[in-house]
Amino acid sequence: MQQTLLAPDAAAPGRIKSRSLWRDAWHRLIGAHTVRFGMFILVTFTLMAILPPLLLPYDPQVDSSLSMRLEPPSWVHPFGTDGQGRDVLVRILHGSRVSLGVGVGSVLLSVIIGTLLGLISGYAGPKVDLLIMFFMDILLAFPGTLLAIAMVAMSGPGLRNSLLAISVVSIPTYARIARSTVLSLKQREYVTAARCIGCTAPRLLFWHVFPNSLPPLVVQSTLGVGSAILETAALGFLGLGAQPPAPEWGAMLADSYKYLTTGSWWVLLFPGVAIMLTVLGFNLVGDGLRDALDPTLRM
Amino acid sequence: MIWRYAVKRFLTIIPVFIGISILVFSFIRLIPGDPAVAMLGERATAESVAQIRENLGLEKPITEQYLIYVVKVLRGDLGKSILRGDLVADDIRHRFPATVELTMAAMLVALLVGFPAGIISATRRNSIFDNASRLVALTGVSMPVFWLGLMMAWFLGVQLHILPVSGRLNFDTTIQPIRILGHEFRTNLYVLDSLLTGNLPALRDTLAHLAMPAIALGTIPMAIIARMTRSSMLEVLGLDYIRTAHAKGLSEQSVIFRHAIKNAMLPVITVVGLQFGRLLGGALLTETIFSWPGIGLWAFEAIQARDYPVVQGMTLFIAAVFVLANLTVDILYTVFDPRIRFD
Repeated sequence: MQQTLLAPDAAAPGRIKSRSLWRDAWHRLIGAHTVRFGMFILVTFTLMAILPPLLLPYDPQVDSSLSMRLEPPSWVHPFGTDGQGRDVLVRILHGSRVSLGVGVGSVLLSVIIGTLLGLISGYAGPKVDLLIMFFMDILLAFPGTLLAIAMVAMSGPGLRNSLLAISVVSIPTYARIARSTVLSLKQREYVTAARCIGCTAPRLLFWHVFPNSLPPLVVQSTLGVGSAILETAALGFLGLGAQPPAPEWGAMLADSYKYLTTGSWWVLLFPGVAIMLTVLGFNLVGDGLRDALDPTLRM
Repeated sequence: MIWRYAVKRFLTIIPVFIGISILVFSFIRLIPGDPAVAMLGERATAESVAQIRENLGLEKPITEQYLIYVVKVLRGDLGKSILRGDLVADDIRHRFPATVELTMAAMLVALLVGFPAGIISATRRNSIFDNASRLVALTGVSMPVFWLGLMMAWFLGVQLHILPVSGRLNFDTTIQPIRILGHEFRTNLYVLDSLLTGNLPALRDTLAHLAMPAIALGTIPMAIIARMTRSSMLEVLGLDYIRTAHAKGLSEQSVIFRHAIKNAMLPVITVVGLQFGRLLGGALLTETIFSWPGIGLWAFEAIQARDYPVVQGMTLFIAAVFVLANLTVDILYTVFDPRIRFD
């Protein structure tokens, strides 16, 4: 990855600029409007997740004022109030912490476990490979959302169980990516050379093989955070994720469902927009990363 | 040739089914504490707990429990609902047609919009239509299905009163059974039943009830199909044989419709197959919002009531349908692309 790209500069024929491949990819990435828009969304929501808890402390346990129930948007409550008189904007701000936390956390967990399993599976020989991949195929035999729902339904509702279920469901994706890199590189001369000079298996895998699976892993995990956020919201909506009164976007929508016929559109609209924008941000950046890092996968 | 491939491919799903059954069987162990107590609640009497443990066979060694489970499943016994005492298999039989009707309609919506949109996008690359449809598709895959359903129910149902918000039929609408040679039967696919009995008011009512859930559920596959069609069409349009077709003077229409589309469809078929399985998962949320009496709504009720055998049986059933759907797609694929059979 340390090769240099020699690009003659048209304006000054004598000078030669060099950039690493990663830098080159970065320039391709931020060159796209859509990616810049996606990054803007993600930065905004990350700030929303970090800042409000510091600037605007909030305790969902005591937040309720029944005299202010279902107030439409106004200067005091820009997004209105919900069925228990709670400010929808404040809850959305604090909810971004939950959604981003579970989204990023579950993907990190599944990337780590999936990559490890994939590397071992690709390197350790046919028996281990068959066993690990059999388990991965079983997990893939279920529609992802459904398996996560069933697992949480069995193990008990809550954010921790949701996070675990969402990450278990996506382990096979990362295992497959890591495995295919190992399989395609195992026979390369540089890997054989490394083995010949006495490189241990873990060092070989992590130092020489693993970096090559980074581009597809980065792309997949960025898109993965988006779908993990959708799944968190779905679990929350079904009452399996964050438990009330925690401000989770999916759970907020489940609560607003009760007021469908009352015409209080704001309790329905804003939490959904928050979910959609965050996921859109991850999808835009993920698509951009795919184009920048791995042109063969371009959609 | 196709038959040999089909049989070979069919044999590969046997180990997958065994794995699925092991996973679903072990679900009951995910329940924290004593499953019998969890099912009955803290105030259950010792006898009723013992009764449930007996019913579930929890006293036996685990391998024996698994074998008993498999034998039961093979006989079509997926367990019994704790709440209502119904057989899970019977409930699936009663409720699955509603889900099938919904997923079929959703897939139809997705294909009818997504496929043409992808083709137009690819042939008019970077046009306003292309950019707009890509934006819509990207927004579509970023949206929670249930939220879209909620917004539609609120806007079209509650505000404008254009479409009904819940159920499959109005209370005063009935669908007569189909009569063939003196036999009466129903498919329980209301669209089909009302069509075959020539019951137009019922057909209109059914379609009105079906519209919103189908559009809500179909949005994500629609977006994915549009994206996939666009990219695979772009790839095909760059190939030599398309240039040859242009060079020999064929019209643009003829090149696209007679030469390009056929090959561009291949990856789309895979996506459609995969999406069918996803739709079954998504149906759980959509059915809940629109009170659509399929297996999704029933699973939701079972989850709320901690009716574990129902959750278990339903998961096994949907996984089996998902695997069979993928198998069908794989086999269909060889019909369209004979190269695969020779691998």
